[in-house]
Amino acid sequence: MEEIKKIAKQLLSENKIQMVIGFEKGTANKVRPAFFKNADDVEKLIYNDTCIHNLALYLKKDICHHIANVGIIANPNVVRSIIQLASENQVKEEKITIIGISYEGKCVGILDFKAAEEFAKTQPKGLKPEDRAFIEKIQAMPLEERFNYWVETFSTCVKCYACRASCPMCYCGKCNVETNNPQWIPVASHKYGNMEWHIMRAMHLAGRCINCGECTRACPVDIPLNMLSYMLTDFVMDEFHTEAGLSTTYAPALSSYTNVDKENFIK
Amino acid sequence: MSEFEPKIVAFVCNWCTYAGADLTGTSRIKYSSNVRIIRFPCTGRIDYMLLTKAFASGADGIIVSGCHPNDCHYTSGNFHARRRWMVFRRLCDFMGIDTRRIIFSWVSAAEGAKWAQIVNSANEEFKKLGPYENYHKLSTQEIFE
Repeated sequence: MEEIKKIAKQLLSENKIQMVIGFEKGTANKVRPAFFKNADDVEKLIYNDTCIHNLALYLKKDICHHIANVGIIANPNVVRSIIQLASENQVKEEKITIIGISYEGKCVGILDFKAAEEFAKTQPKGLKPEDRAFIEKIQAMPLEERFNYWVETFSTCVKCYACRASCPMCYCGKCNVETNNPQWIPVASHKYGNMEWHIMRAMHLAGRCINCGECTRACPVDIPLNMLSYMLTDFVMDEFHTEAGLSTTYAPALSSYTNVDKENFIK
Repeated sequence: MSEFEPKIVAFVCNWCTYAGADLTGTSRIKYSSNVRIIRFPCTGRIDYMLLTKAFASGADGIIVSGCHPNDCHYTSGNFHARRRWMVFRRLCDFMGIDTRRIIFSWVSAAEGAKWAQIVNSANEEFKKLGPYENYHKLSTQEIFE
């Protein structure tokens, strides 16, 4: 933690960066994301096991718009998010300074994009065994039971869109759910609208999700919606042999193609 | 009671399958009349949300069809569509949406007979599966629960 502070302070005092995105103490023994604009404030910066928010989210928010260079305390999830955002031309290398931190909390110093790619490769994301077990459990259900399971699970959804708000990949200025001509997604949170919303969300993140799990963590009713994305990440890996968040030159799975994609289901 | 006639919605591309279906007609080949053909500029334009909308609006089965690979009028629309369908089918399967009710095919402008055969076999299959009550219920009755 001292090392992170030292780097952040130095960068700020040398005016190499104008803001650091990190964590500070919040209420009730929790941490919250914080934005430090001068070196003295950095004393408040903390980093520990509870700092799990994906800070890459803020890179696309107004708060970073007019800042020449933003420093960001980046755990592997954040690093992958930044790489993925870069591959989608959403962030520029010269406007970001990544202060990398491994899963174990070890500071690895300042990373440029190339170093970030290398770093991301050494930090395995993969599915946790319990996630895989969950996916297999659903897969083993008969079709109807599976459908009912998801309908019931989604029925608690209140359409707060916290999953969208917490997702660094959901950066569209205008989301499809706000479109009302045509009304793609019903506004009310009934079973049908909830189902459509979650189908759309999963499809829009297919091959782009970097599996940070923020959506599920942000969900107030604990819908395991990251399982949809995890499952699709697996599928994309199996079918297209590519993975989001590892390369800044990544060709998104759904906007690229090869001549030999499987078509055994097409008549 | 008369036999169940499934409502089939066909999303087809303008350049191949729509022309193919036209050929079926001009060749005077008979095929099931319970298919509603919707014409799109390209299979690449066929959004997966349109498919879920079709189910929600009462379709029992869906046919999605376009140009054969390498025949796309816009060069790569059907390649992009193919990938999207692969992922969408996987997602549907995982979420318990019946993928047997969504039939994908390539029908060129010269394949009038193939189009008739695709629609007829789809019709037979959807008849066997019966009305898609699960999804219909979701979109109608249970809204105001």
